[in-house]
Amino acid sequence: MYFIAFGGESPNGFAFTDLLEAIPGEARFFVGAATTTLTPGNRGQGAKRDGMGSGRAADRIPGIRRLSMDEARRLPPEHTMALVIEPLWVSAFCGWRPKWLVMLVPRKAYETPVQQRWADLVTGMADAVLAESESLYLQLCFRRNGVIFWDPYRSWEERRQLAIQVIETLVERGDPERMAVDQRHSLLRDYEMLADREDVKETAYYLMALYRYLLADSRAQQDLLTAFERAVEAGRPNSLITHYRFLSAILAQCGRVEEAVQAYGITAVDERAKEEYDRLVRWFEEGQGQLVRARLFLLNDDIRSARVTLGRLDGEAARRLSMEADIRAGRLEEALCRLTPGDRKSRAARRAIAVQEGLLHWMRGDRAEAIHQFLRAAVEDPGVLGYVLEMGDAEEILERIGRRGGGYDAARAQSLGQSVDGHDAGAQ
Amino acid sequence: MRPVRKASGNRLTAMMQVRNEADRYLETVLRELSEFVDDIVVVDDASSDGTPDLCRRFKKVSNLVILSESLFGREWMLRSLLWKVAVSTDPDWLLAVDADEVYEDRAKERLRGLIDQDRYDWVGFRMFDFWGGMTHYREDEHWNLHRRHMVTLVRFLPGYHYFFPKMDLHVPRIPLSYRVLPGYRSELRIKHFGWVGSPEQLRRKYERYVALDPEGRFGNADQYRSILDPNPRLVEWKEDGP
Repeated sequence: MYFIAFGGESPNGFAFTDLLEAIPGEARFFVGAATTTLTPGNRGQGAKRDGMGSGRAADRIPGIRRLSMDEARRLPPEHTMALVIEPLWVSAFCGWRPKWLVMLVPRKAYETPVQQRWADLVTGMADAVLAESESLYLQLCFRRNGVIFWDPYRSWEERRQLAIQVIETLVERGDPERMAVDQRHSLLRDYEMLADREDVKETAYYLMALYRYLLADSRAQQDLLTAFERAVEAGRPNSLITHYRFLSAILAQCGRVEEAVQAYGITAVDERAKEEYDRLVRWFEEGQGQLVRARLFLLNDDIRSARVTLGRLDGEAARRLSMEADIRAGRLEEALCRLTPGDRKSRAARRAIAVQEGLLHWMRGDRAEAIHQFLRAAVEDPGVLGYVLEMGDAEEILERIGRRGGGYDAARAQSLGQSVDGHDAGAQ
Repeated sequence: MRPVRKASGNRLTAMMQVRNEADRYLETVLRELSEFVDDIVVVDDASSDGTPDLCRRFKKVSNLVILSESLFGREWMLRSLLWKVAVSTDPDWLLAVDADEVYEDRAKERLRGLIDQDRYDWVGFRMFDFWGGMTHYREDEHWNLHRRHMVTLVRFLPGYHYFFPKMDLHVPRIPLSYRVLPGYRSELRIKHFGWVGSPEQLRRKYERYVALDPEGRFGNADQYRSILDPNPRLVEWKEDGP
């Protein structure tokens, strides 16, 4: 089996070093730069063995072999796991699909919009997601299953064990959700121990509410209200939206739909939210309680629960919500499969659909068709040409990363191709 | 499903906590309130002067709860109880009134307009502390409540999370949770007669506050002392004033 890390730097600049170290040396490959460019963002990345996060020497991953993208594509996909930290490499897969795809979400933000767009798309399609920042981790837990917190404050050995467990779980069971649930229980216990500390009480209770919600534990309601009280006392005027609105998701999860609608209504203080509330009331009075739940999940960014709920529903409103949920989850293919001819009636709708189709073709590596779709949409809205420019940006970023490697060494590639599991990888 | 916010047809319920108010301003306050609210809810904090009997004389007092033991030293419990009794009547809006507060005449005319809307959930008014009589209010460093807005009128939002700070004294009359809801600051005025008493009555009030809060933990010790100021700065009240 092969493991290829797709990074924006050299292996030494790779944020998830411990993950690479957990992989058998003979099976690990790297697509990215050969030399690290030190920036404030990556300086000292990686983690010391004491788990406190400062960088180690440049040779910290001995023996990892660098590949070009062409070489990577020659590896047998059915025996390959891609570990992606630079999502734009996936735009260069061009139809090559490794059997397992793991998205590694670094703590630092992506520098360009095109990287962020691809990060969202790859996060949607990956078999598992590892996130270095807890806030990003939580956001992703609300988006999909199989998200693991790559806690930078855990010891090197703990992270190594976690890495081995993720890989084994993916290979053996294909779905790391059980493992993700166990981790949420563990994180909840950590915050329960902090709950009595006055200085962190609001944050601890808020996070306890989030974790309990993710674990479908109805005590999330009381924890949230405790956090809300603290936020109000601290004079945070936006806590009606940042804290209280989440009660509508908790109540919807518990099946208390009418109360959930009213909780949302209390927070509906701007025109857009008032329109949403009116629609929720109308659906509820029409007896469409499950549709109301799904909408409330979406309004609380719980795309994962919305997709599960909508998966059991029929009807036009459910179909439309499903499309929205799929797009927000990065599942373009599923969203576009739900299209009906009626969706293309207005110019704005045709433009939006063409953009999504263009992105899907880009993801599949069909560059020509992607450009064709973007140009079609640009007839209605010249702003869409930005997507074509993004395609150029993506290529330029990848080229720049590649150039830091000092060019392509054909002789080395030949030798590498022959060394991969004893036969010519180029023949794959 | 009852909408969270109604723009018309709202009922207004006044809520009061009272204690030994029979010989002061309670009758005036109940008479004035009866002119513009739909119901009045009262919690009597163990009065011994016939205050409950006075309340019963007003038809709009729809709910009167009489405590046999005073909660005066545990004010947050008293406020919470009053709130609980008031919301049990399923109101649309609540007006929190003390037994020595009277709304100016033009406020009474405009209150309906303030509650029959769906844009804000609380209304703040300016409160003037009348001093030494019914013609002047006090204005100085410690007595300037009228320059700010005090929230006394709130929309009742069923299901919302209401809570009071657990303080023994000077507990806000409205749950803290209203702080994060949208509100409106009205220029309308409330006349507060709580400090209209004789120097001897003021001294007794001062002594009561100092006994309950000697270090000024719930209030302001300097303000307590200023109650005894023999020459406070007074300003004449004008009915058609700003």
